[in-house]
Amino acid sequence: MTIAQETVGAGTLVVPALCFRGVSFRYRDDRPLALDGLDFEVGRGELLALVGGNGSGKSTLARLCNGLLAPGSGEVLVDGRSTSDLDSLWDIRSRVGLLFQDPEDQIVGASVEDDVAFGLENLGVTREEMRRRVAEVLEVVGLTGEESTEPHLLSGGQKQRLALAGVLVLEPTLLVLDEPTSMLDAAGREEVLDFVRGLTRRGVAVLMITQHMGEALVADRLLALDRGRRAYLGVARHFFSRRAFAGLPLGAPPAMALAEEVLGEADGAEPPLTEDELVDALSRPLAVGDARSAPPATGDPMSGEAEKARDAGPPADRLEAQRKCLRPGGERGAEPDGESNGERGGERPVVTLRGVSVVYNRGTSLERRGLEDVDLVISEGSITAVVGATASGKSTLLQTLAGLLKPTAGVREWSGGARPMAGEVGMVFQRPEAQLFKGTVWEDVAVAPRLRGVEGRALEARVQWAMSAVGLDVQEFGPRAPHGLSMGERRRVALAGIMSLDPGLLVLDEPGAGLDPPARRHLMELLGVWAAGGAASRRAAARGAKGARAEGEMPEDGGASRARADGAFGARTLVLSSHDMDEVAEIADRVVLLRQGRIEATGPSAHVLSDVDLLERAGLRPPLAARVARRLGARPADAVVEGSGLIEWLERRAPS
Amino acid sequence: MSGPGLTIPIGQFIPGGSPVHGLDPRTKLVATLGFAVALFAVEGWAGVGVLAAGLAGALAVAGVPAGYLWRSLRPLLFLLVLTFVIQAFSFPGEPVVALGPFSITREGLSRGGFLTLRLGLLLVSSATLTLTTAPVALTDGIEWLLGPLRRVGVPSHEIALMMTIALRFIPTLLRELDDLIKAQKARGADLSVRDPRRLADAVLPLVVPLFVLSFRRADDLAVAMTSRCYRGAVGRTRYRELRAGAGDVLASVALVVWFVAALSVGRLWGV
Repeated sequence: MTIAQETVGAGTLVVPALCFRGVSFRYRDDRPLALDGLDFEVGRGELLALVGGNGSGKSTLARLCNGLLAPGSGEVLVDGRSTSDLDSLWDIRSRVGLLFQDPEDQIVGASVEDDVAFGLENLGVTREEMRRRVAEVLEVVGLTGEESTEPHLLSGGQKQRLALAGVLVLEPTLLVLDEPTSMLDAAGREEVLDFVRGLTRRGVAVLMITQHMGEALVADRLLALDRGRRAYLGVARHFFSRRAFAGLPLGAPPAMALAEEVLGEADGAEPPLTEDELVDALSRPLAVGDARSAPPATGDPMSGEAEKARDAGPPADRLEAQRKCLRPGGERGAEPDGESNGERGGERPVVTLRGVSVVYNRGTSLERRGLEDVDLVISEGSITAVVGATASGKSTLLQTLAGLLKPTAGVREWSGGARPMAGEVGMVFQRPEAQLFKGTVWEDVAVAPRLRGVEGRALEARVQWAMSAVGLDVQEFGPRAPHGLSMGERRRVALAGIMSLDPGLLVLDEPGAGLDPPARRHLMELLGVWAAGGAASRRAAARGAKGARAEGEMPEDGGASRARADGAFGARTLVLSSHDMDEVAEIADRVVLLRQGRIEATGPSAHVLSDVDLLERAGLRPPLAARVARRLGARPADAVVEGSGLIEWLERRAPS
Repeated sequence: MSGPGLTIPIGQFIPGGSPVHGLDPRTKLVATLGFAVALFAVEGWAGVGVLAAGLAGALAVAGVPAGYLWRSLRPLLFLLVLTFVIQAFSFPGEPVVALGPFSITREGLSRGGFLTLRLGLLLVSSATLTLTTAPVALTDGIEWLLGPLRRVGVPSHEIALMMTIALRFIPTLLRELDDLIKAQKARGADLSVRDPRRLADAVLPLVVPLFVLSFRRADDLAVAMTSRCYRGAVGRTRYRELRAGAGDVLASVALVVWFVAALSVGRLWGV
């Protein structure tokens, strides 16, 4: 297929769907070029992935494709017609379907069918034809039966499919997708990708911008941009297998990264890039030997300790030991823990739910059950991940734990009683960067402590402490305007705004949503460090060990600091929700799996996340290592959820 | 965005299969307008009583839960109380209770009560319209009713599109506002205003982010609409078709009879 595509790409007879000829563009004369002399084509039925770091010009390129922007020099041709030619502009727009990240901003109609018909109405299509085409396209995207549904009642994946339907109904020859899956969970992502692949088979050309290297691999060819210039154009696989991404702010696809962790960096030979290839590679007997002779030196800063951990005790303990060394300041090791039954022994509950149910819009036809009969104990010092498919009740559970939502039935207790102690519970909502409202970063982080009466030097110390906890330099970022920052930076500012209160229980709803993978990883590392640092400094505080300043220790500010020194709250407790099971495997001790508002399973993360069947039944995509291990014959009891666990399991399996 | 339900109560359309739900939106719009005119044209309590009885009947047929209706009107209760109090105090006549230089008069009480009742009925009638009519249908009805004014330069299509977009984004923005309220409360913000001097402290944490979000959305939406070939009303066709049925004819006749009855009752037994 690839070869055929490339022939079309270089085609002399067939007019390509999209053609950039020496295209340069700048937004303002005093700004550098956003795109610099780009040449490329997308053939009919071809899927071209467009990758690049932040500010590399990806979105500019998307807007040039249908004449929303006109090239400063050079030419953009769609089906052979120039977008600079005003006479053909509307014709071009009807041929190019453009889809952005957030489907919410592309839905115009007040109902599903009205929205799909919008483009057809604009083109003056007759009512009969509209009815036929709308019905057809809804069938294609799987929204038949939802015709009169209001868009805000759809799920995220459904909204994205609706936005796609609104574009597809115009029968475009070229589809430009700007990170179409960034707002979706794993299931929704796969659904959209499969769908896009199906379109190319029908001859639609697709240009897909993506931050996910695993997705880029699905493409026929790949175009990498670096500050507006072409850094790579060629077969998508080769970009990774020949490590052409080195030097760009892009990583390897997840399966390739895992392969390198397990097998070591392959020299010469083609590395496995996908899950299937990795399973194949590990099925060969040689692979196990490799894993043994070449322990992974990559990606595991504590491999020495991990190694030690690997040699001792039963698997669960080892995993726990390893998780400890992955956490800087991992004082957790000193805690007595009886992991076998899944509860950390001797630790007090921070919040307890007994038989809790939440019902929305009670007594109307819109009545909806958010949670049903939930029993849950969140122990002090733990990191709990709440996972589940879309609309399984994750946000409801988090807000109930944080005390922002009242249960319709059942009992809820914090360690302080029926209400949490003031400032002891902090909640960070989805996309918290939206809540920033002050002129500077410093002022915004200072909002919460100020409202609690912290002023002067104590306030300065708190802001500085909170900002450094999220990796933002006070001198550099403090005076800047939040809205001029990148999304990842704004999110960290919002996080600092809550961390500045140093809540004992921090609840985060999808903290990584919408961030690109590097920013996401960074955020998770920061959260891990924050939780662990709290354990150390708070315990030190509880022991009355003055002056023991561990990393992440809260500055003392006299009267404003709450009565915590008496040990009422020792360690920081974290509850977060996530769609990404690999991420959960990295950060969480415990996992609560929700399904339709009920708790389906709960326990140590290694136990829950290694149960591939259980997760898939709940509509989740298990961690890559767990999927691979499962396909190689591992059972949930083997508790493989991460690369190190996979290595260990492969070793154990080797002798037999 | 699988956020939980809204905590802000609003008069939201409840889908249903009642005869009231099934009426053409134009019929319901004209009926609501007619009701408003009749409400202020009738004289005396008896006439208003007839109108109120009819409205109660319509609500019963539509099957709108009383609790839901009450919740969607509760935020407006303040308006009614204020109207009543102002009327009670400001009408000259025989004093009932005196408070310093002000006094509540008998006439004031009666007038205030009458006005408040009519205002309340007006609110209930418009709530009945929005609770039983899908927003899309409502917009279509309005566009159709404004259609004749197009000749004299009223941009009926643009008005309808603006309304559609507003309707489309109200739930989105409400959800965002709801999330913002929770988020700012989680930061310890006190969003209830007790001291007018601190109004800004309560309002800015919500208004600034909401503006930023709305402008960003508006910008993206404009791009998306342009990409989908939107260029104004010219050369546009319409997907929806409004069709009035036998039920609408029947309802119209019933409405006319009802209004005339209310007016004549008012004349005959007008107090």
